[in-house]
Amino acid sequence: VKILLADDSAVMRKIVIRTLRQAGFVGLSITEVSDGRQLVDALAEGGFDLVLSDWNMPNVTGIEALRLARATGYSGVFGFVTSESSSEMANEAKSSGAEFLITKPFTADIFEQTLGAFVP
Amino acid sequence: MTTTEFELGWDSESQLPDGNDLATLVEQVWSSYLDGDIAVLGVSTGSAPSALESENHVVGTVSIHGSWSGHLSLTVSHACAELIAAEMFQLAAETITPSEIVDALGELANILGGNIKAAVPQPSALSLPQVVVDARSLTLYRARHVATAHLEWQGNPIVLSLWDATGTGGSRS
Repeated sequence: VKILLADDSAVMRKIVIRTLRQAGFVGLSITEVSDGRQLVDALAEGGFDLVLSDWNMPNVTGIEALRLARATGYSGVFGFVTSESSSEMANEAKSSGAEFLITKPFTADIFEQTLGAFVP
Repeated sequence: MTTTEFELGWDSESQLPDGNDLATLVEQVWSSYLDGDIAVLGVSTGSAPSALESENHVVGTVSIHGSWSGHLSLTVSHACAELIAAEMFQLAAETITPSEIVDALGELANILGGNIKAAVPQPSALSLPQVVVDARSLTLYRARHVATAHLEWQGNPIVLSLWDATGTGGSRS
């Protein structure tokens, strides 16, 4: 499974990768980017099965990147890992084509439960 | 669609988070990303927060703009900030760089701010975090102190404060 991980915080990218491992997901190929512009550019090159994206990032935000990705044909799974936790934001994510939204702080159990449907 | 939310127990329709809510939020974030016990030393609501004794603070802030506007500040000593960054990056404390401190404290401020944002009147937007590595004091322009939680982690004070700038223009740049 090829995952594109977008977060402007290097430590959060490291924590997400660590949490994926703790949740029992193995054999993942993970590419890291640090904003929404890089996310869209990486998706344009193709090959990703799943995107894990922060919401609030410089240059292009996660929700803007999601809309750009869907508008340009990305049909893989797109999920947010974000501190945004309101129902309004969750609804906005869903209506823009996201499959899930994981709120920070998260646990390995939450990753396992949420990503289990998308990662073998 | 899966949404995970922490229940912080305050009524977002009628009141702002108080000091106990801030303490609970810090405990939840710490238990997710940092080892060791964190203890609540005290909380205050309304009155101005007391300063840390350390002269060399690291302050992470994030702002909320919208129907409710304000700021959240996370203040720790420099030594504590190094420990936090070391644990989050899983690196030795003596190898931690200023940029790693900024990254770690900024991300904590972002997580804390996102959860506060969900509890104040909507709609609103969350700013990107800002971190000051060598702060002696913090003055937030045209902002009223709402509440502060004082906690202790590995012998180090942790202070989280919420400031209200609604209607003052003070949170807008």
